[in-house]
Amino acid sequence: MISPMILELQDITFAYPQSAFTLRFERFEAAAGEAVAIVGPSGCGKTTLLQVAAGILTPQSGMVTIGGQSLTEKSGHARADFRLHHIGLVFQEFELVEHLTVRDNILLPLHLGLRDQEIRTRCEEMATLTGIARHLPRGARKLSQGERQRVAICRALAIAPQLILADEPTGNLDPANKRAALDLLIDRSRQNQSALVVATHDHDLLPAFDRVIDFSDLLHS
Amino acid sequence: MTGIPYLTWRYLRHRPLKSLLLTFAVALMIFLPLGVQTFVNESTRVLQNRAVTTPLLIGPKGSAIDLTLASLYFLPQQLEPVKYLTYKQIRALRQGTVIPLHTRFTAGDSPLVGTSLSYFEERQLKISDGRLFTRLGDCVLGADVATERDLKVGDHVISSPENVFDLAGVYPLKMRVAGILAPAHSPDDQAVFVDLKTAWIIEGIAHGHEDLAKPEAAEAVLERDGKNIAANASLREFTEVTDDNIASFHFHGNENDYPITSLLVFPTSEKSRALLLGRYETSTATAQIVIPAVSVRQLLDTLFSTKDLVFYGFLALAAASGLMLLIIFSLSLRLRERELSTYRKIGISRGRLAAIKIADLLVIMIAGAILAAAALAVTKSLAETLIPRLL
Repeated sequence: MISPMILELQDITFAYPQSAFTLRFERFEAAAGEAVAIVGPSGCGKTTLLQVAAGILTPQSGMVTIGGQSLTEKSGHARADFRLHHIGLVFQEFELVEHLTVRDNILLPLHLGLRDQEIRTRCEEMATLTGIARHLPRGARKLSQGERQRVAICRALAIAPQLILADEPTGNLDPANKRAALDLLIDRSRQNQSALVVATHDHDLLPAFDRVIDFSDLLHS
Repeated sequence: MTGIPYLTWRYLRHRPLKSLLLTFAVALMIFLPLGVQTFVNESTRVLQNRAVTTPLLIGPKGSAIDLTLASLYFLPQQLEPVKYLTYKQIRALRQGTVIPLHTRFTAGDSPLVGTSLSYFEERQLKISDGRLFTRLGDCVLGADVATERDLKVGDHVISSPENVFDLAGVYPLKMRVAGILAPAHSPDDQAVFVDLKTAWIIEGIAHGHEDLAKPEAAEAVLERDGKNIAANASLREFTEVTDDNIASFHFHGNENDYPITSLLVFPTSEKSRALLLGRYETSTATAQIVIPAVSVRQLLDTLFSTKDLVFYGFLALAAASGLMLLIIFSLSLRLRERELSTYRKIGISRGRLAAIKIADLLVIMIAGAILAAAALAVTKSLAETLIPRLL
């Protein structure tokens, strides 16, 4: 059975203002339940690709489609609302709010306007699965780097998204936790039939993915 | 609590000192100009209330404001006394209620007011405990005097000498507390009231002493000439009026010449008022008639001539503080940039982001405004009780 395509990026061109770097490729896609890894040297544009896919950055040309909806044709407001409800993001810098508790950080989409009360249940579930349940009432600033990374993963998964975009989601974890976190991301994406795209440097983890894309090949395609 | 209110609450709690300081700054910014305005308005109201309930005032020629302050607010003023005869003359005109006042003395820090029983009726003062003075040497206490000195009916109050070195003056009079007035929120609360005749005892016009005709007073007799007995310095004068010695109290001199400070006049009609005012128009009049409301207006105009200046000064200060607050808030937004950027990346709408940006400012402004409103209410209520004391 062919899984429906969740993420499709077509003929993308993106350049930062006043920068020589230009991201340009013909096609990138990820299907429902598929786990895709993007590898490549630092600065090659992996993070930029994820941000374009999430609608945080708007490409100068090309089309971004998620679950059949064109993100590039949506207004800024609609794009933000779509991201809030359908895209789980794990940022390289975790993007936790320091003065909030761990629980509040995981529930942040709810505080920012997500209309899904199930997130509360999933918050507790994810925290248990990632081993941070005891930290839920603690302040985010009191956590170690590894714990912060797990909170970021929990936040991305708690909204049960259509698409999970993770930028180096295991970079600060020890080998055991690294494997566990990746397994959780892959299991959840398969369970929810969502697409998982992970930018990573960690070649040990690549066998777990359905597909591995070398970013250099993508740019040359 | 969820959403923006929750995020705002968490942010404010995260920086409690900053939040509190900003709240107090906003409260001060609002309170200072409005507080001055409230205090001035309340002072004006309290002062004018007292003045408008006293239609006319008769007293010695000179400053009408001094006369008003001495007679309405019992403030010590250097006033020439008027004669008791004036009281008799005005009363004989039958144009209204005439009440004599004698405000020269004090009992401790409280003004000692010699007057008649009509005073309590005209000022609508009610007794909360005991009764009005019915005997020479009795006194009635204003509510605050009784509370502050913890005095009850049956206790005693002693009149104060005019100064410490008043060796030739009269002895202090020990007065029995006959009653205590209910709070009136006026200068009456701080006064000790006595009968005019009791004030005259303190003045030295009347006194009581041992009966020189009795054998036990023989040592005090200086000379006997028929029915006249002259006493020497050892004669014991009474410093308290009691049921036993009240009969020995007697007055010297002509009653018409006895001193009073002023007369409160409550005319029966507009015509009576006009007649009384006309009586003192002539340049030959030995006393003056004053409309207290006019005197108080003049006094307030003098006192608050700088009010507008102060008000605008505080307004400028408030504007400067407002600008400072805006700068602080814009700096605070820069400090929150990382947090706001996270919200943007996760997918907050532009409207919600704007709401988050101004929510803490709004909460602080509202909290500051509530604090200022509370402070204004306290100022208003304090002004009501403090202003009569400050006078």
